[in-house]
This record gives sequence, C-alpha cells and structure tokens, in this order.
Amino acid sequence: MSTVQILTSDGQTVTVDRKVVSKAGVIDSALASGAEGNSPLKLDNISASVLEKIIEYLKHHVDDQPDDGEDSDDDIDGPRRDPIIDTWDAKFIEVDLELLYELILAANYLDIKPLLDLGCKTVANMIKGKTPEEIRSHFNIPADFTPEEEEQIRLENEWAEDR
Amino acid sequence: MTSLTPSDRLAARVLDDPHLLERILGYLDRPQLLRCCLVNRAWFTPAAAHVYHTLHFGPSGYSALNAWLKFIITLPRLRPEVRKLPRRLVLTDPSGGGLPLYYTPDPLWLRQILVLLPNLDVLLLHRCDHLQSANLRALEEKAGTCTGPTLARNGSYPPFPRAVVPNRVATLVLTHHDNIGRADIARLPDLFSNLVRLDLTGTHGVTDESLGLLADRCTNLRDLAVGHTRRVTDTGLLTLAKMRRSQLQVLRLVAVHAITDAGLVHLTRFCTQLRVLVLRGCPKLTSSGLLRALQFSPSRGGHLRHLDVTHCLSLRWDSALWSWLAHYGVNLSSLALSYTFLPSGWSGSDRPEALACSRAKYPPAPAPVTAAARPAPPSLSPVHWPALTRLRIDLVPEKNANLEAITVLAGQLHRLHRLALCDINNSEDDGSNFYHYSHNAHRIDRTGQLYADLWTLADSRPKLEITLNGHRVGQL
Repeated sequence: MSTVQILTSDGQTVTVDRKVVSKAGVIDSALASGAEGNSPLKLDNISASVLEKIIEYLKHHVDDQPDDGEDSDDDIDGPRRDPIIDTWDAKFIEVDLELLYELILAANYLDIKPLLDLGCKTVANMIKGKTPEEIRSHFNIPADFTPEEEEQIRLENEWAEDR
Repeated sequence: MTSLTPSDRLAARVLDDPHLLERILGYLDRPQLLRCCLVNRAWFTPAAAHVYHTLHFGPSGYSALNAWLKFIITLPRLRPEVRKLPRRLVLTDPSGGGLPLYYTPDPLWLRQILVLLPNLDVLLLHRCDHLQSANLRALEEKAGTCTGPTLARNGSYPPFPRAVVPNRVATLVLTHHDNIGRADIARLPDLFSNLVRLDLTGTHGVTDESLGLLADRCTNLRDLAVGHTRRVTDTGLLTLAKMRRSQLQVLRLVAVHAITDAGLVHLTRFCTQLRVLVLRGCPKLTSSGLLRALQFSPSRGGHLRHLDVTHCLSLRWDSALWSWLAHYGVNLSSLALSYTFLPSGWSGSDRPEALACSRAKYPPAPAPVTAAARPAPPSLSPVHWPALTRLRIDLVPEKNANLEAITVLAGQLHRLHRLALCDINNSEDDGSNFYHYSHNAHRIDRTGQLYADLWTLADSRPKLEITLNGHRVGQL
C-alpha cells in the first residue's frame, strides 16, 4: 500500500496511508495532480498533534461511502441538517476547546466534510439552550445592536415564537 | 477588556468565518435560531437566513393558523433585507380542514406574498382553504381592486392578462384544492412564467384541456404531477407528451383512474428524457402495457432513475417485464413496487426458480416494436440494477409474507442501502415528492411476524437501512 509523507507546520514529517489521507479533498487533489513528487506534502497551518487526531478520524471512517447529500434540498423544511452524532464520533470529539476549534479549521481547510460537520454539530450543541447574552459571554462576542434594533428584530420574529 | 485565551482566539477565527458560522447554525432548531438572531449583527444574517429560508405553516391546528395569520400581519413591517431571505413558502393544511368562522380569507394574501417576498422560488400550498380563485385573479390586477373582470364560464379564457405580479416562482405545488377551477389552471402559465416544477395532485380543474394548455405554455416545465382525478385521460397524456417531448424529465401520475396502457405508450415514446416516472394507483395499467411502453421508449426505459409502480391493481408479476426492467434499468437508482409485483407475489406457483442473474438465463425479451432499434446491449453484464440504492415495497401482507424473495432480491443488489416496506394498512396515498404525511405514521406494531422476519434480515445486512411503515427495523 502506498504511503504519503506530510510535513506539518511545526516541522515534523508524518507518514500516512495514501488511501486514508485521500479522504481529505485538498490532499486528494494535490496527490492527483502529482504535486508531491518525492518531497513531503507541506501543510502550513496544521500542527502534528492536530494532524494525528485527523488521521485517527480518517482511519475510522476510511470505508464510509461519501455522502452525496441527495434529496436534502427537497426536504420541505429546507436544508436543515441532521444533528445526531454517532457514538464513536461523540467520543472522538470529546476534546478540549482549543483542539476542537483547530479541528474545525483544519477540516475546513483540508475539505473533510464529515469531520467539519462533526465539529460544527459540537459547537451547535454548545450554543443550544443559551440566551443571546450567554452566547456572547461564552464566545466573547461583542454586542452591537442598539436597543431599537433589538426591539425591531423581536417584533419581526414574533410570528415564529409560539411554534 | 479581559485578555483572550488561545481558545478564545481560535473560537473567534471559527465564528468570524461566515461560512462556518452558517454551517454551525444550520444544526439549531428554530427557537434557538431566534435567540441567535439577537447575538449581534454578524450572527443575525446567517441565523435569520435559516429562520426565513423556509416559511412553513401547518399541518393543522390552532397554532399553525395563528402563526400564519400573525406572519401575514407582520409581513409588511419586515425590513427589506429580511424580505429578501425567504425562498420557500409551505402551507400544509394550516386550518385543519375548515376555516374558523371568524376568519374571512383575504383575496390579496397571495399577491401580498409575491410582491413582498421577491426571492420566493418555491410555493407549496397543500389543502389551503383560504386559497381561492380570487387570490389567483388578484395576481393580475392592480393592487386594491380584486373584483376584476368575471370569467367566461363557457370554456373560453379571458384575454391576455394586463399586468402580472412579477415573481420567480419555479416550483408551484397546489395539491388538493377544491376551490381552483379549470380557468384558474389555464391561467397558471401567465401568472407564473418561470415554472419548472408543477404539482396539481388532487386539485379540481385539471382536465385534458387544461393539461394541454399547461404543456403548451409553460415553456420551462420539466416536472409535472397530477393525480386523484378521473378527468385526465389518454388524450391529455398524448397532448402533454407531444408538447413537452424531451423536456419533460419527471412525471408523477397518482391515482389517475382513466389512463390506460395506450396513454403510457404515448408518454414513453415522445418523452425520451423521462427520468422519474411515478405511476401510482392507476388501476387500468397492466404489466403487458408497461412492458410495451418500455419497448416503445427510444432508450428502452434506460433513462429512468426512479420508477414507482405501486398500487396499480392490474400490474402483477410478469417475467418478461421483470427481465426487461432488470436488463435495461442500468440507471435505475430507486424502485418502488407492490408486493404483488414481486416474483413471490400472490401465489408461489408461478415463481421462477431464481432471479436470473445473467443474460443467458433471461427469457427472450420481446422484440422491440420500432424498426430503428438500438444495438442490443452487450451480453456480458450479469448485473441487476447496478445503480439501485433504494427499494420500496408496498402492500406487504401482515401475515405470512414471503420474505424470501425480498431477501434474495436484496442480496443481489449490492449497492442497496435503503429498503422500505409498507404493509397493507399503511400506505400513503400521496406519491408527491414535496409532501409526505402518513396518517398512520403513529401506528407501529413491533410484535408482528413481519417485523420479526425483517429483524433477521436487518441482522444479516447491517449496512442496509430497513424500514417498516416508516419506522427503522433493528433499532428500538
């Protein structure tokens, strides 16, 4: 089985199965274009610890069929996504916040959709049940609405409240 | 200002990316999204986009109607940037089968919706008691006057409309409406000039004549559904097929009682690009008719991606039809049929020894009728439905169902990942793509023999998602 060498942002070289790592869209297209040659593939903004975690995820999901996302657009409730996390994934994503955000950014950069979804679901679960003030303080977000604007939004959204 | 921790800084990098924030908010429900709207300006845009993307009211109940009425009142007060957000309006029986006495339908509500929501491209109205002819008429008159010229009742249609509310509705679903007449249907092409998908299942006023008009004047129409009518016949189907020809890609006929095998042949002969064909509950269609229709099709039915032939009472197991379907259905990814259509169907006696897997075993396929037949496909391919991923079997008897045939079939379909079964008591009568609501959805029998048998099948194929009457088998 062929392998690929990857050079991480902190200067470490990691050797991985080509089959595993080609689940990441960006790496797959880099390999397909033959860019790797003999020199290791360089990933400037991913550290070795994050890469290791990503490889653990990809290895577990290596045989998954890619989700073609069919029908999602015909759903009468619009493109809302399924918030269920499977057991292995839930255990996998039990990491500290710093690593969670790093994983989301890396999955976004490397184009690993299922991992990106998993990260986003986890953040969504953190938002659930919080009031606007709690969300702002939890994520350190500045408030920029004037009281009038806030009142306008409340009035606009009133129809949707009691459902 | 407190100093930021590394995780705060990373959180900001994630949440400041509009694409990522939009993705995260996509997993939240509406009450939470409403709270997210109030976080700040950067959050308002994606959160409101989710809340307003699909405006869905119903089905039934006081709160659905109430929310709808509240929305209609709020609508003029929405800011222009919010009004641009809605893409779909879905009203599914918001009044629950009868308007309350205090409520008089406003003849201008539909006009108001289309004027104030400029980006609406899906309009789905199912059993909407407050949709009446006047609402459609109001779309082509000046605002404020809704008592326009009366319609000629004798089948002649009013002259070209003066000015129609501009809109970009591409998908229009008007299902099960009693208040919509023939003249209203005939006016639809003028009122909605961008129609690509049209569903008129169960709506009055769909006749051979109005179907012909629609086919002629909706120049972009690719997807059509009609149903629960006795007034659409083979004549209408012929007109439709000849007018739309290769542009028609999706056709759903649900409980169209009058159509026969002859109409079906017209359809497959002219509509060469038909990808989705639903023939559900059409009692006059027979197996030999369907076979003939496939033979008449220039592609021999090879373009079909989805075929639904459930609840057609005259459609029984037929080995020639079965092998034709298996042979030419290379693109078929979804198939729905009745239990009676399976080899094991009603009686065990006429069942073939096995579902033939190689072409050599096929009974000789009937000779195609058209002279300019395509070259015969290569005889090598031993595969049944190589693309089939979904199989749905309706009308499965509750007791003593012969699951062997289903198991054998499922065993041969390697890409199958969804197997849906419905027993005799649980069959949705609406084959519509847009609207699924089973009145029996609450009913689930986890003790029946059928359920137990399916459990065994589910055990042997862990990757196959098996459902019985809409409920997953193998998961409690």
